[in-house]
Amino acid sequence: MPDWLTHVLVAWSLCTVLGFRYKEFNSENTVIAMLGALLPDAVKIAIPIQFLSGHDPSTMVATIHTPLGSLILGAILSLLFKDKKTVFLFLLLGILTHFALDLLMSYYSGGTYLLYPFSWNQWQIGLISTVDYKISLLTVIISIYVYLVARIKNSIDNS
Amino acid sequence: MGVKKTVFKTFKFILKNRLLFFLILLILLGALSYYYSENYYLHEEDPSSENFLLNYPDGHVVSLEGWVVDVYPGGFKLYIYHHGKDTIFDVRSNTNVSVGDNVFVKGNLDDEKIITAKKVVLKQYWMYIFLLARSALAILIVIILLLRYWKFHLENWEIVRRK
Repeated sequence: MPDWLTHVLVAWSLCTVLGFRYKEFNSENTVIAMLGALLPDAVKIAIPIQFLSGHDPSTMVATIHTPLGSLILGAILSLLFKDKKTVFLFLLLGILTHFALDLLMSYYSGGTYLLYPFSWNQWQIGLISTVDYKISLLTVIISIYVYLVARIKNSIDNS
Repeated sequence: MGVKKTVFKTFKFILKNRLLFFLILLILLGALSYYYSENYYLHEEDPSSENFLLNYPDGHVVSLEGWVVDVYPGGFKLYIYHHGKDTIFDVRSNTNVSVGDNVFVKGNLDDEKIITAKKVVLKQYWMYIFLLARSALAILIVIILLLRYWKFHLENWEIVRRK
């Protein structure tokens, strides 16, 4: 999987670009999409649990790192918000960007269970190594470009 | 028509009742997790750490992740910790690794604790720390932005927009 900075910046860039045209992609909702982009990796909760308890719960929580598991977790999380429907949809967008990025990875074994529990097939396109930090660098450059374009657009709109 | 109306009404009631909906989703997630934990090993491409730490399927291709604890000519020792069990494997490989590196190995399990590597993916120690730092930065950014645009409304137990 790419690092969390990549996931967060891809979600932010996508929402910012869509925000040029659709007002729903405002700052508040963009943050929710960024949160959604991290949601499938909530599976990493297994690491501190294992560290603290000595028991490895990774197989019990692994389902969170599947589209359906993330979707359910997103639905649970959206119940905490007043704007449940909007929050759920933006969490979903973030989750989708997460799996789109994960799909590009080259795993040493297996891949992502995209259709779990309906299929146990694992999927990977194999374009990027799991340890390659150049994808993060590229994402940072694209995000800076999007940020600058957004600022220029805002200043033009305000003048 | 009557059944359809009742189902629709029940569905609407569940959606409106936050606690009930929460419990249903939690049970669903729990069921999915249980199904996964009971069946995943049947569908793995290669026996993973848990599977072969229990069975040691000699001659089979296995894949595992661990930490390099010693390097010697023609190989290195790999430390694996899984489900409360720690083991050290000898990996036969010419990959240039250092002590402290995080390594994914795919290879033949020739003997109980000797693996002839077919594929080694190396995450050097600095790469691992750099990855953690980037991820920590991402969490920090998301937390700061969440606190900036959203707030917790204690009376209603829900998160609302600041604007």
